Amino acid sequence: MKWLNDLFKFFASLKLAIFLIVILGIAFGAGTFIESYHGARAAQALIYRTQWLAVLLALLALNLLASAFDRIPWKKKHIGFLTTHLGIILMLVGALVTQAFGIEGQVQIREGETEGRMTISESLLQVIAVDSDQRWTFSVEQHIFPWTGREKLRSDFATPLNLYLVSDYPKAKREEKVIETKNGSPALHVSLVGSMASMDEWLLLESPERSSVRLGPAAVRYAKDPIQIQEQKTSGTWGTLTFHFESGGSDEIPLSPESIGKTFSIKNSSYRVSVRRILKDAVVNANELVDRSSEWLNPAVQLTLEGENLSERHTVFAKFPEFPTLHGLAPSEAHVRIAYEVSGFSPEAEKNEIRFLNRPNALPEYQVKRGSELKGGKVELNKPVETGWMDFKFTVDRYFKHAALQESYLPLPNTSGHSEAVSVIELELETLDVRKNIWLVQGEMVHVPLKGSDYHVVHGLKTRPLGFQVELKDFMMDTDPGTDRPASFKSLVTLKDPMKGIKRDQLIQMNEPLKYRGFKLYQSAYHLESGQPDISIFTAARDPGNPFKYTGAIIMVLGILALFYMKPFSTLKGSDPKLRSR
Amino acid sequence: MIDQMKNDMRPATSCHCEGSQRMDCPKQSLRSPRPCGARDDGERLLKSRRASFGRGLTIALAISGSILLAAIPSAKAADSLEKAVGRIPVQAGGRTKPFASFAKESVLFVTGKTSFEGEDPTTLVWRWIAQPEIWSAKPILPVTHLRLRKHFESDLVRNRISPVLVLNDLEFKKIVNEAQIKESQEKRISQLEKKQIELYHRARLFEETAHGRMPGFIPHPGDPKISWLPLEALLSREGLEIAQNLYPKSELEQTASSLGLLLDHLRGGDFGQSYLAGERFAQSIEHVLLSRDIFLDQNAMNLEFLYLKLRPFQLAWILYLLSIIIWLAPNRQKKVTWVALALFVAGFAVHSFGFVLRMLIAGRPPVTNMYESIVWVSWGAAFFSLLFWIFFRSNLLPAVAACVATLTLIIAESCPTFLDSSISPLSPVLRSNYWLTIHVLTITLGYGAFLLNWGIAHALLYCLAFRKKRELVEHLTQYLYRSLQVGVILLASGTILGGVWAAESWGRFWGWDPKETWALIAVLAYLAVLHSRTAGWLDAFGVAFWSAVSFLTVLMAWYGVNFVLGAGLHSYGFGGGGLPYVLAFVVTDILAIVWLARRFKTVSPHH
Repeated sequence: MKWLNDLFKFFASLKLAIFLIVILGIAFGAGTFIESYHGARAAQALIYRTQWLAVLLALLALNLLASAFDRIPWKKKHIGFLTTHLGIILMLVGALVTQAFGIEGQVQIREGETEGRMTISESLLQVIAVDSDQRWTFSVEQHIFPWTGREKLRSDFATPLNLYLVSDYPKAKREEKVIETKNGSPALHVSLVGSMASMDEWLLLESPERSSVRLGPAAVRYAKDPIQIQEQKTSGTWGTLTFHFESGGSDEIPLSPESIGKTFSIKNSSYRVSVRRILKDAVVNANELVDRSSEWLNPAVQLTLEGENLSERHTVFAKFPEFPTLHGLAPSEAHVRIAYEVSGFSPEAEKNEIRFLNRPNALPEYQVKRGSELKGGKVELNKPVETGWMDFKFTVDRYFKHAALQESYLPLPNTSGHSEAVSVIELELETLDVRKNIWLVQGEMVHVPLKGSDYHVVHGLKTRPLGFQVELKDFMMDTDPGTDRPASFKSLVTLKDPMKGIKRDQLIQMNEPLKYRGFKLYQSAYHLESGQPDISIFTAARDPGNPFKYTGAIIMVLGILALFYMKPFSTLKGSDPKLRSR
Repeated sequence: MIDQMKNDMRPATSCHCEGSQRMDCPKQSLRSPRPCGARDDGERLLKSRRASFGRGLTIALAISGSILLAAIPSAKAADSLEKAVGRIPVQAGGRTKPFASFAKESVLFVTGKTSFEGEDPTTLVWRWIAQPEIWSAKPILPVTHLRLRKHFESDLVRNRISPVLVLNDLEFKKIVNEAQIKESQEKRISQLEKKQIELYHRARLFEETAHGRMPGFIPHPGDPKISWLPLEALLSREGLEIAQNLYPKSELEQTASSLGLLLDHLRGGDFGQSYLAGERFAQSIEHVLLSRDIFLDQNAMNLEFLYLKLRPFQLAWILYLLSIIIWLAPNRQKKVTWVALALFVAGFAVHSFGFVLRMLIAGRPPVTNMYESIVWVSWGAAFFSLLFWIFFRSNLLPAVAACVATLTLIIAESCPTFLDSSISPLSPVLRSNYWLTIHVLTITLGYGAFLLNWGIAHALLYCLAFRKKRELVEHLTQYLYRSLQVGVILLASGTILGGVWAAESWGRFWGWDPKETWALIAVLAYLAVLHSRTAGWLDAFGVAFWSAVSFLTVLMAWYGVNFVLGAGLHSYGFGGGGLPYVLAFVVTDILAIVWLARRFKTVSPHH
């Protein structure tokens, strides 16, 4: 059995150890470069989660074991060596346990809501028959790089239709094309160019979302009806002061030259307002607000708000209602928003508008509204038209009598950080006599009418129960003093386990997870949108491999220390490599 | 255990060759038979170099003396404006700091230099505030990118441009706008676009600062966390009216008038008077705050001001450099080497002091950006050299450590645009965590040991290539091995601690994050060296050569992950560039060690 002995010696050899160390190092290094160029998923799929890496690691474990057995009979001096290697083996075992039994997923909870499931990163494709509410589940193996081809998707049960995966883009950007069709909505392509901004856009008459574009204080619209100049609500050129209290009350005070110096009490509140100055063309000169001319160019009011032990001086500009009226300070103590409305100066969208009026069988007409002025004409292709809004000009360069919107997706590199990037697949649905292609964004549902029967197709991620429920009561974010930079995130949650009658509050924050039934819930992300409840996003993880890794790590470090610094337990010979000498 | 270590580390005269067949024991050690005291050994090294370094001691001392003098804050600063107003607490960049600190950061950002036209940053910023229009028309913003220079070709003065020209260039503003939109959408933008945005921000920051809209001077008495009122509030009637809602009118008017006086003196170029006016202004600001019982911690401000003026890390490398010069200088007296060691220890003390100072200012261990980690790693190298000195009593160790520490500290201090030395608040993940602190400190201390190892490897390669004395080679071989061990232990345990921390705060022990992966690769590289050494494949030369090469993996883990790969969870450590310099350094180093190796191979007989 000499060959068996030789084999054993080979597995116990330092040669194999060094070979493995070097190969693993190179592989890991390559992995980090792949991650940098093609994203983390590519690195996982090509290096870190491959079978060959698993084989290499298994070889390493075998090498460690064999080299330990090779030293039988073990003596005291072997202790350092043995503990070090035992530690590494335990850590590898821990990695194996994690791989086999570890779970990681996301839990996304809106403020005030309760969640009992976690989302795991495995794709799931569901087809739902709208009439019968029958469901079929297909499994989709997601590709790492943008892929096109034709792959039949499998389902566990017989399905009324066949599904083929035609494209799979892990990251893609939606592209829209307007194409001329036989019947469809009229469409025109308009560009608006000025020195401060520019835009170009397709407008589709019959599409509710695509018939108009808002551009800050202006709108561009394609419509059937012309603009109606409405009677201005505000009376007189001196405008109106409006007060909106956070508590709900509001009041309007029309101004006139006589208002200056007078004090008005505000309805439904205990506050009074005294108007100090009304400026027609306010400019800051030598750090003071002065009237530059008597033209109505930049109306502003300076006023004092009084009442309830408070006296605040505000400056309100008609053109800039977003300006904090109390200069440089936190919002008013009176919790009021003050606005000065002067006709022609409020930057509401409807005050400035370009409207294209549809005419059957002819190019549209246009109307440009600027404040209360209105002008119009016939659209000529490729001819720029002055809008009168600063230096903006618009040009219509294409017009289709009938057109339709065609969507497609353009694959982006995996590492793209594009804010509109989505993960998308293209499916081909096939029944006996119909075929249809659809684009399906991950996490969205598409309604597909397919000759007589309607389907909903969903491409999402699998979920699994946590075994308990978590309610998000409050999400809190602190910022660094004087900045918007987040300093800390906290979520106040209620943990609920009705089966065990447990209901308790806990604060989850960075480095302080919620621990329950083997799971840990970590604060990992958040989503804030004004007017919407805050969303807090947690990572839920269960890792039974950790005890092995921790013990292994401690044992290994102790082993190295023994090996390096405790002579009786070490086989190392001090510091004494043979020298190449002369 | 220390005793154990001591025993182990003492030069052994016999070899304990009871090992197994696999763990080949090198034959009898080739070190000198007598247990020589390492102490006089280092001196012998220095003596052997004596002839080649000639009689340069006096010149060297003169040069180093002048460097030292230049570094010590000059005496004329005693009654400068900086002293008067530099310590006023202001709010900027998410924390409260002395005005001098804010001024240093904004002058660096606006002009790309730590001091501009020989003016200290504090005075310069005050002159901006006194005459914003005049300064806005001066070419103070650096334009580095070639294509950007082309855009402003006719307006450049010595490759600098004035803020007003940048801000009034509508076409440029449009370009910047587009670049910013692209940045917010796609995250990745070209170097030119980055520079365009940067130039625009430079101009904006100048405008904000010069018009007194930054930093904040007067906190809201109810909530000091919201934005403080800037100087602008004292410069206009509207501003004063607002401030009067918070503070007594008389105090505010007093402050406004002393501010006006200060600005008048500055406009008139009367800097002697401006010092007094500055002091008055600082006092009146303090009175304003006191009138609402706000008492800001002036000690913290003084501490940071001291830190700014002392520049401890610069002082440290100067002391290190002096010690190197003296070690290399021709002198037979033993006392002189003691002087060198004393200088080294003094440098180390200043280095440590600076570190502690920075820790007190920031309220956390300062190892969260590249600058801080370089400072800490070089401290680690110096620390380990002294630790080894205790065991081996060889001046070789501090001499090598002085070289690497000087090199790294000079790099840290001389690239303020790449290596941001300002103290800024931490990103949320890094806050208040005991394990994280230990993890980072351990890993970077490991880098420190490897930095020392790298220096020793070079010294050893040099000694081998130039056939220096055998004892010297033997001692260096031993130090090389010892530093390698320390590095491996620290880096391995640091990486594991990182796993523990990740498991505790993110729920996974190992996630193939590039930073942790590269730390592992570095451990593996040095492990390969250690095992090859045990296997007898590498001799002293081999170990030196391959440890020097392995340091590249440390560089990759330390610098490359953030600046070359630019991916992963450790992205909070990211900062801009410097890559060409690092690459040039790496290539030079590789060429140097390959050259030394070739020389060694060709001059020594092969076995």
